[in-house]
Amino acid sequence: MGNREIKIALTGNPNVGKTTLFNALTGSRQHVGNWPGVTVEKKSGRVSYKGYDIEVIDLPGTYSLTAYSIDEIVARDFIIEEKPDIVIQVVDASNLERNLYLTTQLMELGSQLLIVLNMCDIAEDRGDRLYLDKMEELLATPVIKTVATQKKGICDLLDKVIEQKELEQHHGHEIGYGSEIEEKILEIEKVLSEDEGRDRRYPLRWLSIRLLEGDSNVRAKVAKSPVYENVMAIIESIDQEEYEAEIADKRYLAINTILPQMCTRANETLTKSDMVDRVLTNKYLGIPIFLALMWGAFELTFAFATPFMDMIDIAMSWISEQVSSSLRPDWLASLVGDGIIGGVGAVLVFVPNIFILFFLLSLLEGSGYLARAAFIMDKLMYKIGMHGKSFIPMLMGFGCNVPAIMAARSIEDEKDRLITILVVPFVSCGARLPIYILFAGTFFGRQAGTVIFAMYILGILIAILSAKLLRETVIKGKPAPFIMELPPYRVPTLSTSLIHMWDNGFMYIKKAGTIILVGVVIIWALASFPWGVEYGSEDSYVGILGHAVEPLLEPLGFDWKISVALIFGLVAKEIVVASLGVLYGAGDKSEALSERLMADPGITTLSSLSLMAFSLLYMPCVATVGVIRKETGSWKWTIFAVIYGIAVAWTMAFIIFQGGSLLGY
Amino acid sequence: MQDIQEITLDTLKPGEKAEITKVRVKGSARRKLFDMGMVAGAEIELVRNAPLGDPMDYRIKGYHLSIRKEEARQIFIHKV
Amino acid sequence: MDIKGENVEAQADTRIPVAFSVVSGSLYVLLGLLQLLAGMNRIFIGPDILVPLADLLLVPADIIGSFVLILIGTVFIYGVIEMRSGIYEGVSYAYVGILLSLIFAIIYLFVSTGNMLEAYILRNEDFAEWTPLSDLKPGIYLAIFSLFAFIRWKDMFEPAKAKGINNDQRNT
Ligand SMILES: Nc1nc2c(ncn2[C@@H]2O[C@H](COP(=O)(O)OP(=O)(O)O)[C@@H](O)[C@H]2O)c(=O)[nH]1
Ligand SMILES: [Mg+2]
Repeated sequence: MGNREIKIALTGNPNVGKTTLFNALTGSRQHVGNWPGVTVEKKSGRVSYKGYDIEVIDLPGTYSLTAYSIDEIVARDFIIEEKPDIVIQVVDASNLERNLYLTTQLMELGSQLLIVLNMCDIAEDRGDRLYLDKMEELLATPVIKTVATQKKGICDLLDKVIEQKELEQHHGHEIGYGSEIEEKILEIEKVLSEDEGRDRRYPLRWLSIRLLEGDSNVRAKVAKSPVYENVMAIIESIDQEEYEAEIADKRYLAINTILPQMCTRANETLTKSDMVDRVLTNKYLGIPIFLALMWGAFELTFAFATPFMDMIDIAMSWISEQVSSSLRPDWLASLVGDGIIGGVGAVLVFVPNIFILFFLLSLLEGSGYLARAAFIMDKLMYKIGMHGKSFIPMLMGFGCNVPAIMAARSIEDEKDRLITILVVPFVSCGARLPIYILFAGTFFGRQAGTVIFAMYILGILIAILSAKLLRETVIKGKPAPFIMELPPYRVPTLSTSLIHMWDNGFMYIKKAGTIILVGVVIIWALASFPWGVEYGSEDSYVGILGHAVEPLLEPLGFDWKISVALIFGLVAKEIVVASLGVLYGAGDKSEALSERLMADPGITTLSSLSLMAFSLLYMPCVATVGVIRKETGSWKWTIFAVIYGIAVAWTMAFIIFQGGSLLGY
Repeated sequence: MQDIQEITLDTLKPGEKAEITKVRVKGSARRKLFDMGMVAGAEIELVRNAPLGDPMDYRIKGYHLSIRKEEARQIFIHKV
Repeated sequence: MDIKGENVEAQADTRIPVAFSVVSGSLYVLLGLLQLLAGMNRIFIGPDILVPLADLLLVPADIIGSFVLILIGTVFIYGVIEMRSGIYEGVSYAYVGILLSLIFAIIYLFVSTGNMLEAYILRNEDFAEWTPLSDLKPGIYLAIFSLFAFIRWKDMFEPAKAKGINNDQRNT
């Protein structure tokens, strides 16, 4: 007999331990992808247990099932449309009241519900008492206790899942909303049921309640129905805001009536989490501590990553050499050696940085500090037209723009997220530093440090101004309201963070990798053809292209060689320095390159400054473009980002070079 | 009645408790606030302000919820 | 009056955290200041009398690092001030000070591991003279006290639950 299939979905509020439980259930048998059409992470995995093959899906964490965020829509659409056999709500046992609010809505969806009381360790340590039998009875739903971090209760949970699957019966309670609202619900249900062609997966009662609450997503769903007019007539006859309040009221009322029978909460004492919060959000100490922690994160990202980056670098050059010397014919050796391995290597070098950044981000998130970072920085961010949650992604941009743009996923509001994605590329990432070091070091001597610092500041200023500008023009409106839970501080688990790091780091390698490969091959072809010319020389296509764009870049003080280097820089910024080395015949020795740059009358102190500003601001690299495309899901915004960046870079460099020339530098 | 309606949530001082009487916030934030437990009759306490003064950290329904003064100004309370 | 009586109790309870915070806090602040001076000296004037002392205490010339040390020290001292004025919650600062010093010590240890790889495996010229001792600095060795305090926190620093603090006092 083959294995029987069970499909279960994990839902629950954010930070209740869903992901931890998911990892405990599925171990390494999991797959991370995206929900179709949206950039919400979809995690699915499998467990084999007692002859059953159980598919587990980790739904995005939500407080409710309204249409407030994409997360909520994704979660409820999945439950309704994919009909998992069992919907498991993970509940934080130490915070039942708010968690049960979601339960009341899940019940209305009419699916087989199972409640997992997670974090029982915290509740019981505190002295809370939980009466499981009473809870099962009052909620008419099976309840299982777990401690996901210690993998406690996992087998009980799986046993229960199988037991429920075998029962195949649905039952559950529904909340009554009082006679007035109930009447309206019935009216709408009746009208809706007249439509014979309706989507029968959607429970009528649920649809009616949602319509009364003014859910725009549900309204769009029934818009095509022939009875739409009649439904709207009922809805327009009510005071919708009042209904909204009343419905929420009734749900909490229902919870408050049953809650005292299900658990007793211990007297509140000063918890560790309260203690930590008292200091980390202290009026005077909060910001300095935040800055110090961020500095520490960067120390780790760079200082600890350096040896690993060096190792990758050494490995890649070794492979490149092996390939170049053993492959025939020459063009193939050149394509693989100079092109693919060289280009991909330049990007792979950043893998340690990116992995560490993702690891630290996951620690911040799991510990609960990420929410505090948004809390601390929101006022400043709001002033520049952004949301507190945009701060961490922008900060990560200093390491690498790619994970920074991926981190913007935590921002719920579409507009806030889009603005963040569009301005992150102006934040000067680690790959741009070698350009500054070369040019500032060569032309500014003792002032080099100041000039480099000024570049970072310039990037931040442009990012801020761009955010303001976008708010005034193409992405109008105010930042979304800041309504956010500050979850209790917890000790993050190493395995969750490692899995998060691996998933996201691997996604970077895979997605960015393909785009980089294409970009690298194009650049290689441009630099090598017509066949026979020296790689990247004046006669190659890229040299010709450099000459072609020279008139455009001349007002910025760049000649064709610089133009070529900048074109190479489209692949990755660190190639700029390497290709200048080739163009100036200096190989990879930085002193020799420095000397030749000094000796070249085509580059002055002023044009080097303009070049640094240009490198800072124009398109960061193909990987960033690829990830912008992926995260915005739109070519329009991707192209906008590229053109906007180049325009800003050109303008800034123009101002520096022409202004400086006018002033007589 | 009129009196009670005058006080808004942003006037609460750290450590003070109050009961929510009415939520006058409009738009999608209204729904979200309800979902997060800001319903009439709920007890709420201001824990502290953010270091820069703006978002506020409230305790409601046994957890910490942070909102801006802008929204707090449209939530009516009476002190307990 | 009742409340006042309880506060006296609470004050008695915080004697150990206060003592620990005073010692740890002053060490962090002093070494932080020394490190700040050492850092500024390298930039502005060049070595002078402070250097032997700095060398003896393994203080590097690292200005940002000195801010971190001073910050951790300040957290401890802030707690002392609160606890001395009868606010029991001041013990939070001792706890977080301990956590912060451990976090930064871990960061330094990781960075040091990176340097070790550079020196011994990659044989980078910049790290030719590197020995494990070169990275030993106040941020690391001062955290040993914190580690001890962290392990013993439950039995030494936390007052008995019964005497603990209830809802009324969190408002103070
Ligand atoms: N003490 C305790 N902590 C837990 C438990 N389950 C999860 N956590 C911690 O709670 C935090 C949030 O967990 P996570 O799985 O990311 O929550 P999600 O947002 O629901 O996916 C992490 O730091 C976990 O280590 C539990 O049963 N007990
Ligand atoms: Mg999760």
